[in-house]
Amino acid sequence: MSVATHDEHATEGHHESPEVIDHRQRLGIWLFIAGDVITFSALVFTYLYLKGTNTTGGWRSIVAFNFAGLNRVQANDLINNATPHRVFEAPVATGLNWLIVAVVVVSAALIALGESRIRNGTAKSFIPLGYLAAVVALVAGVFEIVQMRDIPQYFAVQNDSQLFVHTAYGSAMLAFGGALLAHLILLAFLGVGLSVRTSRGAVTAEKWTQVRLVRFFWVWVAISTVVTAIITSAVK
Amino acid sequence: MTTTLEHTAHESKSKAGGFLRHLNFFTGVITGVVMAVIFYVIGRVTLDQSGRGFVDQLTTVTGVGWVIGFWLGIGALTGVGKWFIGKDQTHADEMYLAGKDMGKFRYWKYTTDHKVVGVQYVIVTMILLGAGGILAMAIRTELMTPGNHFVNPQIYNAFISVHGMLMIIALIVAVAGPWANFVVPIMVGARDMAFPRLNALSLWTLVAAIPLLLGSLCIGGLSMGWVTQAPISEQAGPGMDLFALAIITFAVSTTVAGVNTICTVLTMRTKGMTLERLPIFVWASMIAAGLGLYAFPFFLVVMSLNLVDRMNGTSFFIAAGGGTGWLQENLFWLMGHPEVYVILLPAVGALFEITTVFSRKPLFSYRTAVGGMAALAGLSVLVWAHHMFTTGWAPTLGGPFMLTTELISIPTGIVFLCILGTLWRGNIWMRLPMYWVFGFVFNFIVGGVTGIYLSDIPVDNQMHGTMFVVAHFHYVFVGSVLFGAIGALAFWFPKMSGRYLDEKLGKISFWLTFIGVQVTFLAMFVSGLRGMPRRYSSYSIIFEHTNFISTVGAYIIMAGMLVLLGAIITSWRSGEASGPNPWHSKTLEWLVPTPVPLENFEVLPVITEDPYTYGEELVNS
Ligand code: HEM
Ligand SMILES: [Cu+2]
Repeated sequence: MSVATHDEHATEGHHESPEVIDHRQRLGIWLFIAGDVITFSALVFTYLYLKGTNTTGGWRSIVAFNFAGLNRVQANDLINNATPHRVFEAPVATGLNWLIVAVVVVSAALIALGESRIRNGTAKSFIPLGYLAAVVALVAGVFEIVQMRDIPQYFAVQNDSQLFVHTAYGSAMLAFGGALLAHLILLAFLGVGLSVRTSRGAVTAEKWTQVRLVRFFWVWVAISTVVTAIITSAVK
Repeated sequence: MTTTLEHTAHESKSKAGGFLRHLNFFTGVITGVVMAVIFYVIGRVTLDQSGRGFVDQLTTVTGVGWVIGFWLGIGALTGVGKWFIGKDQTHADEMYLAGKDMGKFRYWKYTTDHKVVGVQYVIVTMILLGAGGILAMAIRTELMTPGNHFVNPQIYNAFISVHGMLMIIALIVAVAGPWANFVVPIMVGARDMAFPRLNALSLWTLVAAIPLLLGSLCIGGLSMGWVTQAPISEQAGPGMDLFALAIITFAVSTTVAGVNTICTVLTMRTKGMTLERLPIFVWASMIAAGLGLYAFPFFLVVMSLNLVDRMNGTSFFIAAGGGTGWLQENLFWLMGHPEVYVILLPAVGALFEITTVFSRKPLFSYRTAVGGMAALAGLSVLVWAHHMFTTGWAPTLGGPFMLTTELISIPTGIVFLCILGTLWRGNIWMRLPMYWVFGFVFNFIVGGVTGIYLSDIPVDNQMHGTMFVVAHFHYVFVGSVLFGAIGALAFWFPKMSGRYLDEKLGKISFWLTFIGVQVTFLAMFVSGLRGMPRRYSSYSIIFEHTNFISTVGAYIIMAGMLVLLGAIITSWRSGEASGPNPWHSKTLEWLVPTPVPLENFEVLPVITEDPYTYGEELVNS
């Protein structure tokens, strides 16, 4: 390989322009999002696969005692006096499902709004928006926890061993919920971090590109909740 | 302990690196162990001890504590924390992190310089291969004669499983780890990787995964092989928890590494380094990284679902709860087959480099080679169910999957022909790296052709689950990928160490390994053809002779590896000095001084020609 040296670079020193760095970081974040999309697709695949296979008719039903709403004594009575029977599980409340979507979308919109403020030159007005977006994301997380707690766990007696189990449907819903929860915590961390950085002057009207990187990720998480809600309300 | 650390950190605030000055591998291990203990105690106190998943929860929590503690203690999270509070690193901090003026100790630290990370990957790969190799020798020793002698069947199966996973991880990083880090940035004319701190993160996250994997063995291991087939993986002891956690950790490490490699190649190329002028190894590394980005999320998901099944009573893979083992197999092989090409491609890329340099000829049909590798990657995501032909899953898809699997031999053949075409009428210089190229050429034919047998459903119905499959993939893994990795080591060793890898010992090692592979795995094909099942610690007397031969062969391979280890150690210390460009090569990594200066290039080069103009001087004159 034949090479020539180039003087321009020598005078430039070893510093790269902010545009070059931003371009690189944008590609990086897109690639991470791509990996996250695959992860999410694997969960969608799991959901649809379990529904499609419906092994032993167990997608949303199970041979078990239904424990939902019982205390320990009542549960013991149930185990001692009743024989297990097939329990059918209601799908999660559609309203709550879409409420979570709405809240996540609002948090993404807040970050996007904050980004446009910074880009318009008023960096300081990002600070409350970043905190707010983080709080809203955490609110969505709380709703998600409520939803996950609503998914009942059954008590099954199988081959002389007793276990708490979820239906296939409940399992897949928990997977979506757990994954979303992890993402929301990460988003809240990023939102707060950006606000702190802005108040410390590390993010400014000139140095705002990190906000855009975070917004990309935030919007993707919002999209993933929409997709989840569509799939889990259309196929259940 | 924390207080003293904080105290000293305060004192040295003015110095570059700040708090990180006090952190290294050893503080990482200490913090990791401390956090594991803390998490264990918290888990014991807070988790429901009567619950069915208690042991699994406790094991997992402890493992997570180790990883977080190790990250904290080595400084992986320091940058994140600084970002959060708005105190970015200064240029001096960055130089400190890169290991400027630090001497040998930088190899024990969270150092960002890609050349340091490359060397660290060499060491980690050798440790993984060594640990996996010891298990392999234990397995082969047990199988030398029928009956159980040294280990009981449970331990035998644990050895099989952990051996498999250690070696898979070792080979995933064997070429991409050391050389995509050490040489790719220089090859494209960059001063470092795109994200130097992520580079250190990927290395040390991999290191954090190793104790989990070995720990799995210590607490009973797992019995179903590296494929962790459900429902056995649901019923296995707590060894499975650490195993799954090790893989989740590893998946994080490779994802980070893959993003870094792709960004480096796409955004850090110097002037004139067009995509058409990229050295072929760079292409191979990038395609493999992209494929890994697709594959490893499935690995993460399948292991996570397995874990929550075990810990929290979900039923993803449990038929009684409405789940299915087929889901596990699908998710696993959606990862599993692309992953074999994640392993293969960098090795092939390195062998391409060696072949053109030592044939003194341009690479045969550069574009076809790149296209062939891309086609391999593309097709490899469509063949996963050839691992499930005999499971009863979707029999109607058998035909299509057989077709895609057989189709993949076309790009495989094309890539192979590009190596042969480069050799053809070349002016071949038989130095050590070239030996491994010829070894690869022979072994890959055997491995590839037996793969085509297996893709044929009627044949696979006979062969699946037998030692024939084991022999097939050892021809591709040991015979081809490991040969590629050793060839790459011999080739780039002078750049890394300034010295030649000892030719005499290297050649002895080559012949021992090459002969050992034939003896071990040809005999294993025969065992398989006669019907010997895999993953059995004892076997019928009719398999006696071929197993004995395989064991003898394995000892020959071991001898070859020990000689190689000796060659590496002695050459690193006192080998013959090589100068900056011992092979008269034309790619950029050979045009910088040895040892390579911290930021590689004083002045960034401008590229005006293709990388492989070998022999044109002669033609032109
Ligand atoms: C022409 C190319 C190849 C074809 C057509 C092919 C085909 C196959 C088939 C059909 C199987 C399934 C056998 C069974 O379990 O019954 C298989 C197993 C396997 N192959 Fe290949 N193969 C090829 C190349 C490779 C390469 C290049 C690698 C690695 C770099 C590889 C690694 C493996 C592994 C690891 C397994 C076994 C996994 C397990 O069951 O534990 N193969 N191959
Ligand atoms: Cu395969």
